[in-house]
This record gives sequence, structure tokens and C-alpha cells, in this order.
Amino acid sequence: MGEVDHFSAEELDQLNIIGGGKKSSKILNIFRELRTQLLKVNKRNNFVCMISSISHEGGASYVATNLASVFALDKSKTSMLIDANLYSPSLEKLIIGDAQVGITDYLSGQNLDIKDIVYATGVPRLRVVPIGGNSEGAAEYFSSDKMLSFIKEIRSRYSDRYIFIDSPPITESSEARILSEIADVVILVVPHARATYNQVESAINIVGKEKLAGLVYNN
Amino acid sequence: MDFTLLVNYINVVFREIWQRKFLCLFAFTFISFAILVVGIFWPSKFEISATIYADNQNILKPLLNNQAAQSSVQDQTKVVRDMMHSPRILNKVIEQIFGLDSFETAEEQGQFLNILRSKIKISRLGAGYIKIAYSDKTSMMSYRVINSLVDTFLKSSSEEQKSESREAFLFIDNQVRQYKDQLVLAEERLKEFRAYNFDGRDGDVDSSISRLRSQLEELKISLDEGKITVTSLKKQLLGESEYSSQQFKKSVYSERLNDLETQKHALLLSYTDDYPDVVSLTYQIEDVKKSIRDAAEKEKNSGSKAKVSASDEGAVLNPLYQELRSRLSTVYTDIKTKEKRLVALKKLKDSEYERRKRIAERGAEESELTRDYKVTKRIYEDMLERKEKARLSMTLNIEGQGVTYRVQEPALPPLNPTGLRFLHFVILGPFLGLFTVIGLVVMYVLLDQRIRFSEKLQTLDVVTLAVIPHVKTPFSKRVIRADMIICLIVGSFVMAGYIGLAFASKMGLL
Repeated sequence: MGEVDHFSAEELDQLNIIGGGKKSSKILNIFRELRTQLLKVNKRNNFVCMISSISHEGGASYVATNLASVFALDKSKTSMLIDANLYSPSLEKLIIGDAQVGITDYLSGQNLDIKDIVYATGVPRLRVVPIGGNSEGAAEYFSSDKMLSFIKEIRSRYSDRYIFIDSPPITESSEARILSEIADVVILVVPHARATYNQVESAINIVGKEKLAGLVYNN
Repeated sequence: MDFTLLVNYINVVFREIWQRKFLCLFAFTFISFAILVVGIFWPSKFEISATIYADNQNILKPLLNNQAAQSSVQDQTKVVRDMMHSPRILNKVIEQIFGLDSFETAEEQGQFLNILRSKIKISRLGAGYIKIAYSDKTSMMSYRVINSLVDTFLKSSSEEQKSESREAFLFIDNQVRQYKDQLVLAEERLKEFRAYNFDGRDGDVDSSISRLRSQLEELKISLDEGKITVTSLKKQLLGESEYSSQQFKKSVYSERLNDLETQKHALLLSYTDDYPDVVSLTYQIEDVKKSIRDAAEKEKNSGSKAKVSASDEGAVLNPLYQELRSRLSTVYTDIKTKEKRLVALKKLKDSEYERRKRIAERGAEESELTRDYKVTKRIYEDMLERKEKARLSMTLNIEGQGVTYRVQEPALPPLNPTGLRFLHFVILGPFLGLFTVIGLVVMYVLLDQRIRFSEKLQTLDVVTLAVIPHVKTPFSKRVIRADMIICLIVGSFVMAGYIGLAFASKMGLL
């Protein structure tokens, strides 16, 4: 797994990923602020953060991608993005080249090594684990010991790596609830005009206030 | 609501509109065209009004006086409305404008009459002023109808006034006759009643009874007095004898002697002793003295006897006794007479009581008859007075003095139609379409429970880490641009179609 070519500014723009340019400085600052707050909440160097939306197409993948990208901006740190969004996987686009297998393939017991499912992206210091092609029974995979050992393994391999899990909407899937158990902190994305106050309250109760880092309102 | 919140709301509303742009465009088009179509079929109205003045001197007002409700100006408006809406006047108007036999059937004419009636509006402007308004599709028709209506009404009103006053006079005249007959009847009944009623009145009987009572009281007292007198006289009679004694004679002679001596002394004051009258008196005195001595002698000889009887010598009738007997007899007679009178008075009193009962019984009947008579008389006199007023009013009306309506403001032909015109609808359509769409979206935003403002999250006990603005990717920008072009093209077509339809309608091409 060697380094690949990086995305150009236009490509980043196309993929809706923030870069270091002036064009997206406002949004970049927002994500930098989000990074600072997250580091303040969690003192560990390589915490596992799950990002879930309140409802379908709520922008969790967008927030997860950009948050991981912002963490990777620091040259002394790397970040990893695990695509656990079974119903709307979207992280393969970050990978330059083909992604043959992903996390579901690994967890389903195929004879794969971790390095086989971790891909480099067009964003420097950002690695992605795609969803893979075996998403049936994913809830069971995510709750398996293998999932726990996988997280433990990637966490222990690099002490300066931050792991972000892009999960399905928490109010609509059991997988997100299972993943929230594995994660150290959870960020809930509240999409504009897609979630009611009661739904937000319900999602907070599901996650629990101990693990909940906070809310991100996505316009 | 502070300014930031207002701006946020406006942004949210426009965002919602943009998200549903094609639906909103369709709603806008539909509403605009619907209003335009309404405008095309909206009938033009030319409203004309005329003002008439209603003189409040109603013919019945002085006649009815205070006995009936007087007609007010408010009622006058109702009268005018009733008259103008009446088929009699409306048929005349139809006849004047459309001519005779303008309708094939009576039903058609009836329907047209109803339409005409619904277009006539009558309202009160002020004291006595009544506005008559009429609206129709053309200016000329409105003008002709209102002029015809007002003229027909005024003529008809004048005729009606005359007829009304004549009817009022005839009515009152008839009433006067009826009341006169009733009065004569009441008078006759009262006369008849009084002719057969001899008992008089309550007051007469009462005074009569009172008088009889006092007479009875006096009579009873008088009887008691008489009885006491009888007792007293009887006692006196017992003490007196029927015949008097010598002593009585002596006392009579003594009295005579005193008289003679008094006369002699009187003469001696003027004459001497040898005056013949004095001499005569002296002889008479001597004779009387002799008689006294003889009586004394006889008394002495006969001794003292308690009672003198008729057989006694010298016994004469006792005048006192006679007097007492006479008085006793008189008192007896008086008592008898008074007793008879007492009985008679008692009978009279009883009969008076009977009379009073009869009067009381017939009193109710009499008072009813009297009341009937008085009321009928009062009404008759009143009606007689009104009859004369009615005659005067009728004469005034016949001579044309009692006209109560006149045209204050004549009707003028209108230049422009009244109310909403086609141009109003053409302008109103797009505006109403736009505002309706915006209004509906505002309502949707206000009623929808979904979170549209990040501030709302602050009420939760959880930190809001970030608020990410809406990000436009190059792709989404292209999509937006394309959508905008489509919207503009569609919108332009819509507006072109709208203006074209409006123009075609105005030119009469539709």
C-alpha cells in the first residue's frame, strides 16, 4: 500500500471535499473548529469517532469525509475513514483506482488481511476502508469479535491515526447502534428540514450523553 | 421577531420554494390563469343612481293622530322599495323599454322581472333622501331603466296618494256611520233602562233611609215623653177632686176684691171720692166683701170635708181637674197617633232597604250601559273630527297639493363601469398567484415540525459542535443554473401566454 497521486483542487471541489485553498476557507475553518472541539472532548490520540445522521441522506458521509480530511491536514497525523454506511456507501470515490474488497468482505471471514481492505485516497494521509461487496448480515459482522479486533488492530498499529466510521442513520438502522458501542465518541448530524425535534431527542437517547460529542447542523 | 430571525425565515421560505420550484411554478400559473379566466367572464357593471326626496307629510299622519303608529322615513324607504319592486311598476318599466309583447311567455317575463328586481337597490341616504341604484351590462340600458323606473314610480305614487286619501276618507266616513249607529243604540238602551228604573240612585235611597231613621228616633223619644206625661198627669189627677169647695169661692172673691181696690186706688189718684166711678167701685168692693163674709160663714158651718162631691152645696166643677183631664186626653190621642206613625215609618224604612237592594242589583247594568254610551260617544266625536280632516286632505290631494316625492338628484349616464374591471383581474392574477404560493410555503414552514434553524438545537442539553452552511458543488451549481434557465423559459412562456390571452380577450377574439 504505497502513496498515490493526490486529488487536484478541481477534483476535490467535484468530490465536495475541502482542501487548503482560499475557495473553501470558510467551511475549512468550520471543520477545523470541529476538529479542535473533538480533540478537546477526547484526549486520546487515536480515538474512534462515529458519524451518524438523524435521517436518511442527512450528510453524515460529507461530514465524516471532511472531518477525516481536516485531521489529515496535520502532517504529523493520519486518519482513516471506514465506510459502514450499508444503505448508501459513498467513500469509494475517494479511492484512486479500484476497490476490490471492503470491510464486509473482511468480516465475513474471507481470507483477507487488514492491509487488503485499507486503501489510499487522493487526499494525503487519509486512508479509506470501503464497504465491500458482502453487506448482507452486516449487523452481525459489526457486532462480531472480529470487528472489535479489527478496530483494535488498526488503532494499535498507528498511534497517531484517527479513525472515523461513516454509519447509516442512527434512528433508522440497528448497525449504527452496534457501531456506536465500538466508537469512543459519536457525532450526530442534524440535516436541515429532515429531522424533527423529537427525532433528535430520540437519537441522543440512543447514543447516550457519555459518548455523544455533540451535534452538527447541516444546512 | 428580531431582524436575524426574519432574514432566516425569508431564506428558509425561498429555499423551500426553490426545492419545490416546479410545483410552485405550476401553482402560480394555475392561480394566475384562473383569475384571468374569472376576469374574462366577469360581467361589466354600469351602475347609475338617482336620489329622490320623500316628504314626510304623510296623508295618514294627521288623520291617524296619536291613535296609530306614524310612518317614519325609515318606513318610507321600505314603502319606496316595496313599490319599486312591485310587478305593477316593473311591468310598466319593461313595457316602456322593451315594448309590448317583448316576451313570448309569461314565465319568461316573470323571470326577467325577478332579474330586474334583484338589480334595483334602494337605500336610505339621510332624513327623507332615498337613493335608487340600478346596474346593468351597458351604460345606456342602465340609464334607460333607472329613468323609466323613477318616472313610473313618481306618477304611480301621485295616483296612489290620491287613491290613498280617498280611501282614507271613505274608510273614516264608514267608521263614523258605524259609530253613530252604535251611539244611538247605546243611547236607547240607557234610556230604556232608566225609563223602567223608578228606584232612583244609591244616594237618594241612602238619604231617605237616613231621614227615616232620624224621624224614627225622634218619634220614639217623643213617644217616651208622651208616656211620661201620661203617668205624670194621672198622678196629678189623683190629687185633684172633680169639684171645687167654698174656700175656692172665697179665694176667687178675694182676687176680685184686690182687682177692684187696685182700680179704685188708681182712680183716686186723679179723682175725688165722690167721682161716680169711684163711688161705683166702692159699692162693688162692699158687695164683694159681703160675699167673702158669706162664704166664710158657710165654710164654718159645713166644717172641713176632704172631698167635695157634686151633691155638696156650693160645689162647682174644679177647673184644674178639668184642665188635667183635657190634657191627658190630648196626650193619649198624641201617643196613639205617634204609634201609628212609628209603624208607618218602619214599613217605609223596610221598603227603602228593599229599594236599595234593587238599586245595587241594577247598578252594574246601568254602569255598563253608561260606559258603553260614553266610550262610543267619545270615539264618535273623535271620528267626526277626523272625518273633516280626511275631507280636507282628500281635497288637497285631488288638487295636487299632497305630492310627497320629488327627484333630488337625477340619474346621469356613467362613463366607466363600476366594480372590478378586466384590467384589474389581469394585474391581480400574477400578484395573487405569487403571493398565494409564498403564503402557502410560509404556512408550510410554520406548521411543519422539522428543524430548519440551528438555534432550535440550543434548547437541547447537548453541544452544537458546528453549523455547516449549504455547500454548492460545481455539479449542483450546474444543476441550479439549468433549473433556473428552465424556470425562466417556462415562466416566460407562461407570462407570454397570459398576456396573449388577456389581449385576445380584450380585443374580443375569444
